[in-house]
Amino acid sequence: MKKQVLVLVLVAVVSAANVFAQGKYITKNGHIEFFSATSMENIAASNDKVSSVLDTQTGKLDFALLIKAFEFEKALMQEHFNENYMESDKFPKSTFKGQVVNIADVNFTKNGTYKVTVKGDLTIHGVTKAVEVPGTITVKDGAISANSKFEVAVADYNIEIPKLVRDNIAKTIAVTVAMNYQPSQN
Amino acid sequence: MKKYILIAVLVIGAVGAYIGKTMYDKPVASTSDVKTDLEIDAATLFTEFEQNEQSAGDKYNDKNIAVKGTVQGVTTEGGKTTVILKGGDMGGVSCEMQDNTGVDKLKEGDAVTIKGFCTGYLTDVVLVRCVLQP
Repeated sequence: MKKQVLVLVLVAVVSAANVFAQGKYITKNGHIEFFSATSMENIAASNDKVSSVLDTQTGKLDFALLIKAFEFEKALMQEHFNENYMESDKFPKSTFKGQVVNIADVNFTKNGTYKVTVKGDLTIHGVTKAVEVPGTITVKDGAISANSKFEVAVADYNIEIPKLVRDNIAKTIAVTVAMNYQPSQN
Repeated sequence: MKKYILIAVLVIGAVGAYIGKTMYDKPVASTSDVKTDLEIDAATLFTEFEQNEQSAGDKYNDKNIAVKGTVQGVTTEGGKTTVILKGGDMGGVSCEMQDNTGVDKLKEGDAVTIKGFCTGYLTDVVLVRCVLQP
């Protein structure tokens, strides 16, 4: 009898942990920044209004951000970025739709930082490219965060940089992603 | 005479370079120093974006707008505070505050006016560099 109760309790605990871990996690205040380094000058901008959904069961991972929500230190940089390079009136958003390939390697019930590979379609400036980038998912006391750092080649997304400032803007831009997810109510 | 011309050219060049550099380095304007383009309430703004993102974007994006609404929530992440104003059933107006002046006192249900730059629509209408209006 005692053994049966023990088994029952164990089953209950395990399934409770599963219920807790399953499902969708979201954020609307994710952080993405980029950095362009050249000998002429460094340019940095950050966006703290990134929306993202992570499905911990299937590994489905989506991001969406508004180009105009990138903030720069210098007004002229912000203006050029929006008007000349990203054409943010025409292409207001950048998105990523993809998948954490090895989601099974992440134990959402156990604290730790797990290495992941993310694959999917990145859309910038109206151009969609298949990308594969490394990242980490960190589980800490039920809270989930995700981080990644990768490079984007400006030319891949048909972003034209005028000759005059070509030396001021790097050919590849370093992108840093930092998300803190909350469980979705839906 | 030639010497004067040379000096004049040098001075003009130096002044020009200085003005150019100052313009190049000009920081992004603080929202409080920028004239308000228009005033609107949060529910109207949200509904316009929800119904037609394109036309609402053309109308409001890059504008410095004062949005009147009811506080739905306040969150702080990475040192940045966001105030959500009630919009519709599916979303609201998300205001990323420039600084936290007066924001810590805000609570759900408060009626406020927040001024900021409209950047577009994700699941919420997103305003950045926001300041709380007195």
